[in-house]
Amino acid sequence: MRVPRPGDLRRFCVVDGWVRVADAPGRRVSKHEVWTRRLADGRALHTAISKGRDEYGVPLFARILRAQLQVTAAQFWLAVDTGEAPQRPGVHSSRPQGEPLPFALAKRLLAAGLPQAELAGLSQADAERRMGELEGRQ
Amino acid sequence: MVRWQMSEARRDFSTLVERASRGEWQLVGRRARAEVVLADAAEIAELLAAAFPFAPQVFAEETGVEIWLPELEVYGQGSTLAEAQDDLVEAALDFVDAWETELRVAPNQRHKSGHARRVQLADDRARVAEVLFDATSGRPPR
Repeated sequence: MRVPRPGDLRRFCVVDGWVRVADAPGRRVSKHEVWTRRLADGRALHTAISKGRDEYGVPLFARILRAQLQVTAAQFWLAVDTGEAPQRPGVHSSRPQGEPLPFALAKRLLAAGLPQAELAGLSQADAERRMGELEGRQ
Repeated sequence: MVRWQMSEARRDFSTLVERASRGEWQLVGRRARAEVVLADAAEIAELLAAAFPFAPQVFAEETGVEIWLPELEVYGQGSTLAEAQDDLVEAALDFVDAWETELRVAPNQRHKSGHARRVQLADDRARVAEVLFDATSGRPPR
């Protein structure tokens, strides 16, 4: 699956008519670019472009598409590549890709010495098994 | 339970605050209907914590970590878990700002009220991090 860079998300927001939330006086100044969008049916969308990495993983991108932008990957890339704004509704009934790890489990594994690269790609069942092995060793 | 009329509450506001901070909810309204409740913030935080837990999801990549917060539908990223946590705190604060000023009236965002209020009640970044990442946050001390 093709994944975006922060610039692609920014381009999508511009093409799709999102409004950038300015750092107005009295409001906290964010490290992120915050964008919102009102749809004709009253729904409000929100996204914040993080500067934590210069790329997005597939599971996270799937969630951003489904929950924040509310478009399909095809609609997203069409907007980014050609400037064609997506037509809503008509989206995403499928579950997002990628199995997440519960936060507490991920933190325990890293604290127990598991390299981050090894954590990548572990299913929850594998992660729990690995935790058991690491705990058994201590 | 005492129910204050608006004019009485205005006059005796310091009494209301004192009683509320002792754990007595102060109901204020016009005629017989309570319109506003003044209550101890810690108690409200505790009640919200019990009803609206957070369950952040971690996606570990070879070159970084991403955390998705399904309750607010926001994310944090970083080259380490700690960086991603800090980034998620920022994202949650961004969300709550937008939620308070714009999103909370939208039909697809209203259900996030309890979780948004939990972040809102946290005083600073450290407390927000505790609310998001510590599953025991909000429980009374033993």
